[in-house]
Amino acid sequence: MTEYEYKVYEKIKPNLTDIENGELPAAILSYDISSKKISDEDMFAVFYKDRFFLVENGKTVSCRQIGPDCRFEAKMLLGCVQLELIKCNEATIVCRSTMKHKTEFFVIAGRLCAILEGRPLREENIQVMRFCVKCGRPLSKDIEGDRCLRCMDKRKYVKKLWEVMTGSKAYIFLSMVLFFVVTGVNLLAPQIQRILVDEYITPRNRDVLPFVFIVLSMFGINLLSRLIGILRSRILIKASTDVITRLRSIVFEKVQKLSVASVSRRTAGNIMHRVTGDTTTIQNFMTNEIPGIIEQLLMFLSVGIILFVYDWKLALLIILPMPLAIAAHRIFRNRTRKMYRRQWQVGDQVQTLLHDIFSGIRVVKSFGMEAYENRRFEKETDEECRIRIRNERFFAVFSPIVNFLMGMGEFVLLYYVGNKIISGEMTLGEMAVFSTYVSLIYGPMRIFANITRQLTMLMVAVARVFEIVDEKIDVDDAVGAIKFKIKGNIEIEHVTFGYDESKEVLKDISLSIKPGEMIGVVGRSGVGKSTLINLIMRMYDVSDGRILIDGHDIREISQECLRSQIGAVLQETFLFSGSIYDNIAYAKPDADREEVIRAAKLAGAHSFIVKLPDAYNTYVGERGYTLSGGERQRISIARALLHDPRILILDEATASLDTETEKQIQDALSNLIADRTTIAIAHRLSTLRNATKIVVLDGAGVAEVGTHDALMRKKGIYFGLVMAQRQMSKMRVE
Amino acid sequence: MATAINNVVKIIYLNKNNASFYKTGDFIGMRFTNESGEQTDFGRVYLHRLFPYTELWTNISVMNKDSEEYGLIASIDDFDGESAELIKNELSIKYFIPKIKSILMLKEKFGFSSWKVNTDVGVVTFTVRDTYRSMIKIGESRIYVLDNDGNRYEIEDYNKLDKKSYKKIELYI
Ligand SMILES: Nc1ncnc2c1ncn2[C@@H]1O[C@H](COP(=O)(O)OP(=O)(O)O)[C@@H](O)[C@H]1O
Ligand SMILES: [Mg+2]
Repeated sequence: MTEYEYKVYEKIKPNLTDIENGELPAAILSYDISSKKISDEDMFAVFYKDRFFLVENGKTVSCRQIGPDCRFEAKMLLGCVQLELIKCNEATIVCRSTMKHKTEFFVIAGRLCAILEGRPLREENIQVMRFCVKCGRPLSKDIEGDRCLRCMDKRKYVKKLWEVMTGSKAYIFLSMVLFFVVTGVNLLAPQIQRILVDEYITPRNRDVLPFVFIVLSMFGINLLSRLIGILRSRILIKASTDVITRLRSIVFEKVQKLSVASVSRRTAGNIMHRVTGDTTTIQNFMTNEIPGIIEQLLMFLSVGIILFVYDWKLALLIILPMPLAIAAHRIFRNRTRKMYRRQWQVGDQVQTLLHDIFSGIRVVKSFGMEAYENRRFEKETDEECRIRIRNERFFAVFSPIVNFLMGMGEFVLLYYVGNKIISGEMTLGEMAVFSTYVSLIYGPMRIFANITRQLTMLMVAVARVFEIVDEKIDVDDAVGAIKFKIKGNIEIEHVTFGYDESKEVLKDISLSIKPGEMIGVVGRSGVGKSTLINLIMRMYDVSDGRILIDGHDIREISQECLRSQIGAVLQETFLFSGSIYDNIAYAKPDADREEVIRAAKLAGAHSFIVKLPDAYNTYVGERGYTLSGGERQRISIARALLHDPRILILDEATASLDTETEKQIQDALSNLIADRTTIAIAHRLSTLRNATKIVVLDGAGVAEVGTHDALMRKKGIYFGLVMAQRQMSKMRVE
Repeated sequence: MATAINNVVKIIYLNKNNASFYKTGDFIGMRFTNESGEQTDFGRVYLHRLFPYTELWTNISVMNKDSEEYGLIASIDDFDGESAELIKNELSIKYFIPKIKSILMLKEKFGFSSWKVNTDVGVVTFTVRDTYRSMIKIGESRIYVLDNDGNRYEIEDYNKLDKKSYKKIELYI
């Protein structure tokens, strides 16, 4: 039992009526569906070696015997998971749960089977399920710490951000000082205004010199405050750019280290968003929002104090309606925010549709679907229009009302101050000071209404950035990972692997490949050929068993060392944006011209490259020249060949080529292959005739191994496949 | 063209004349009689809706445990008696999609939304990651809500929700 199960056990122990002298259960499984209803009470299945109970709402509701003739199977259904007990070929339901518990269902089914069969437990059978200590939600494997993202202590992130910021401490400190200076200067201005009004304008004092001096000093103060402001923003921009650059490179470095699994779990867009979008949010916040907030806060506090000292009744009159106005503003904001998010989303949908139509314009036209697409587009824009109108209508009505509420205090002030001036308690100059201060204090109020929203946005961005930075690297270099020159001996021992726990793609595969051999892997599509290759390149770690290269477990070999000696032409050819030359030279940037051309010739790419107007300089990739599938494949073959790997992997590398070109490349390759280990996956079996060994995979694992001749003589699966293909090609010829 | 495909691709339709379902354990098995009258017992079979969003009782695939198809049920009306009951029950076990009757709470925080809803199978609370994208509108007024764990919930007709519930989701649709 895991720690979590043990905790549950302690809790429900008193309810278990039938336990003998403290025998510990083998597993405890929580579930939440009972007789087709979701229950909010805790329900558990408690498994012992020879029986199990269901405990619902503190009562044991059923007890069944189990024995070695039994098997447990977890099944993923739609919106629920189910544990089945299979006995004498008859399956019955043990318990059902919503998807909340899906991982536990599979882990525990595996563990129970192992126990019933008397096998030792594997790591995945005892996988520790972790739950957020705050909300009880299961934690995903890649989160360290004991809280989920939602409940994560945000202070931790502030601390982390601060650590990144410390490099620019001096700048940040300097800008803080300047904040105080600017606020001080701004507060001084109204006072001079008062002197101007009370001592010169009201008494109609005609002393020119002091008058000019006062006007000049007002001008000077204003200028000073602007200049300091400019200086401050420059310092801040410098500081924040430094911080963000540092942060970005931290994130980027981390993303590169993450395994394919965790990168492909998120979409490329998602990761790009974190590297650029979220860090930009943080930067904006640091350069624009934070200074605003600090400035306004300082202003609010200092003006507040001045006002209270001046006339506390008046100050109360001004400040009391504030919370009301802020509340109104916030309600308004919350609603508009949702409205605009929805509007943004339909806008996004329209964009996506447009993008689809334009990039698929050839398909649209060739099926004559223009009218249909028009209608589809119209429907989307109508929807956008409906939402826009709804939003604008709301905004038009409520925004003036809210603004009116926000300014209400100023009317109260006018009445109060007016009275005081008429009764002679206050001078005109004082009034000028007052109304300036009041406008100074109402400015911050608008910011305060937004402050929580902005802080939330910042925290989300910070959390998303550090979520990546903190992610455990699941395919990580071992401590003291070794580096060596690979000879090319590959030993696959009882390897089991699945992309997720509910489905094993490869089951107990064993295979031995000697240096210099060429292995052909065949099997129907989806059987796991590419997966096997992913494992050899250690894009993913095996769930069970191990892969040895020259006698070393690949988990002990430095990834850099491993991959730099494997050259792969993968099924999905990928060309970077850049010239053909750069693409071929990608894995060996210091290659000279001749090497690159030689590789291109060997891969059969040279002949078509020279026909292009810009030859090797032709720009390819997303926005570049459109190459055919076969041409792209030949470029990636050239890339792999130039790399001169110890282990060459060809995953349907020649599938998009015509038979003749394929044959040419095959012949060229066969010279090259001579002294290196090659693993080739091919659809056209004829290309594998030279293979030292052919491995046939089927759903259950390795079905057949042997040379082409041996397998043909055996008349098994391989024989069937070859015959079927011969039939096909004969048909084509006829 | 279409008729050419019809001639090449044969679909086996299952109905009460060529197939019958029986109970095996908590699940169902199928006996099938082919055109030449031979009967086979396939043992346990699995049902799979071909159009789970739009068709509940038509176009149901019958498969073995490796997802190899034995045949299609064009409509559940092609069966009666025990077989029909068994099919319905098996589908209700496989597809667990609570129907939302009213929304008790919907709060958004940090890009997640927390829901508490009353469904036909009890009160449920769940979290949704990207609210706008996780509410899938089908047809005019039906909505599927996908939560963070992979559960699905259905709002059969949002116009029929009570006013308070409707207000909570109004801005998302
Ligand atoms: N990144 C992935 N995540 C989840 N499942 C995957 C992934 N890649 C492949 N699969 C699944 O694994 C199985 C084997 O795929 P693959 O190894 O690509 O087959 P093959 O190369 O033999 O055609 C398929 O069922 C496929 O759907
Ligand atoms: Mg493949």
